[in-house]
Amino acid sequence: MAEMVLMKGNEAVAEAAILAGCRYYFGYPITPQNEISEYMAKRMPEVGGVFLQAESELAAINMVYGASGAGGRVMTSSSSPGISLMQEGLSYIAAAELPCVVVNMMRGGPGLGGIQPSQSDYFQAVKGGGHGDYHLVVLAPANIQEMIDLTIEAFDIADHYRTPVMVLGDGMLGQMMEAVALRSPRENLGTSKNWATTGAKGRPRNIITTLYLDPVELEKHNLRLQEKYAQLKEKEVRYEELNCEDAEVVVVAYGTTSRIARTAVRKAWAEGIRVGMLRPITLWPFPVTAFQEILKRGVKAFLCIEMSTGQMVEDVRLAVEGKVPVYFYGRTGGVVPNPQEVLEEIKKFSPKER
Amino acid sequence: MKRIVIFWGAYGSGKTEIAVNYALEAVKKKGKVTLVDFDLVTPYFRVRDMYRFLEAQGLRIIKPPNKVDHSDIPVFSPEVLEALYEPYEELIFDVGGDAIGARPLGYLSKLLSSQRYEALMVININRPQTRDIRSIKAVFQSIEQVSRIKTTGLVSNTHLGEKTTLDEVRRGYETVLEASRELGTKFAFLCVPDFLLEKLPGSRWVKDLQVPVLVLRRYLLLPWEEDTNA
Repeated sequence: MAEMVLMKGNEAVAEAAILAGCRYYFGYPITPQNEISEYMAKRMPEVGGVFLQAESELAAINMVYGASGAGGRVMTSSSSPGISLMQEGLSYIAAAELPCVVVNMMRGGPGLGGIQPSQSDYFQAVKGGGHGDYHLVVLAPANIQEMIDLTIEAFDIADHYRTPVMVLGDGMLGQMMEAVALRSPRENLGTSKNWATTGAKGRPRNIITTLYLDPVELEKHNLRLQEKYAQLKEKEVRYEELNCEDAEVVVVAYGTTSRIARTAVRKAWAEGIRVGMLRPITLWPFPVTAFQEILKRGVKAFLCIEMSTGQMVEDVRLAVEGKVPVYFYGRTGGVVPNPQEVLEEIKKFSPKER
Repeated sequence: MKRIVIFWGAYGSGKTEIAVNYALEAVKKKGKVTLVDFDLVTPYFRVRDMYRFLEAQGLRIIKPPNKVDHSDIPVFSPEVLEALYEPYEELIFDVGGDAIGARPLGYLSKLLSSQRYEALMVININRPQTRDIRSIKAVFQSIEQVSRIKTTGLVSNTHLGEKTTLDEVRRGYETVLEASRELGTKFAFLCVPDFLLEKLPGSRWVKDLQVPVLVLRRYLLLPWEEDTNA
């Protein structure tokens, strides 16, 4: 068994990136994810990598653009307001088909908001906060071990599909600690980046651009991106089911709220309520087929729990196609719901007795 | 113990949980105990996040003023200075992690030097910053350097959350024992999570224990955890 270490989520993401072979980190400080930069500042020099505190989030994301274009495994991290500042760069990176990992430890918004945990950047993450027809792959860990595993996976998905990947956590997941098993570091990354701008001696030059002035060319480029997104939808969907086999109500939650929902679902079962939980791990691509499977088994309603005023609930409704009601319960602004509140919501929408 | 007890150490070593447990023990024995939230660097899981509960247990809590206690601005309340001159009050400091968290104590170093105090470094060898004697030494020295206050003792708090075994506790105990010899600093006490208490008398190494034990109950719970003590 691998060695166990007690880690904060922020530290775990940073160490996971190092283990995944990430050797470039650019960022700008913001609470509640500063431990990522702090950890990187210490660790990157130890492994011969680059840590750079940029002058702003705009600079940081464009440094990511550059380092990725040159073939590096690269990461940046921030929290909500900082991620908003990076949207232009993300659209460019997606357009240029460059791999990178972006970590967002969400805090309460809109605007400066607060520094307590939130999930109100869901729309921004999965619908594309920048311009143009593009997507980020969005992974949503719910515990510190997943922070490590999904961060490593994020780098592999990014390289394989040449696409930016977001690890979407929140302040709670960033600040809390759990025991984790670290993996051994990657020796061989297994991807050749023959498209990177590494100097064209002895080969035709590589060009990285997002400018296609010929509309037909631009449409072709867009269709190629769409093909990639179709593949991602087919191959990279991840989710977890809990007690969904003969559930009458299924709670849908990701990240921190899924931990709360899990406790509530367990309590409800103890009281004889047939309730399950579906936890999307990829928020984009969204696990649409999982909903369709659960619908076939005769579920009577879904209940979406979020730390927002209702964002993922829209994707749940699209997946459910109006076949059964989809209810919503959320807290916002950095208020974290407790299992009791969620249990009461479950009871509201559950048939009385088993 | 001295009138003033300061808990510091690496990030996430368990200072807040220990300070809370220690203060609740102290208030059972004595009348006036004040717990100071001197963590100016951590945004979550601080004394101020549970101050109402602690006040209800008879503790006095000093924390940053209400308007800024949810901000990430490093401020401490002037009540701290006042409390330092209150000779009949026991004062427990929960200090922020690493050298950066201990830095604001440098401001109080001159005031503290004329007082009877203990400054205890909390060590969990399962945390990445303090895996061995060498790294424990590095944190120890960097904290003394920036705070200009001498560390007077070490606290062993090795655990893995709910996955902690007595073997983990023993590994931590042995490492801190060695660190205490190397650093010439006393081993103040050993923390044992309450759920391992029953297993404690059965182990041979516990019989030869050279330090007192503080049984730790968790107060800073995650939103989905059930309070098993409630």
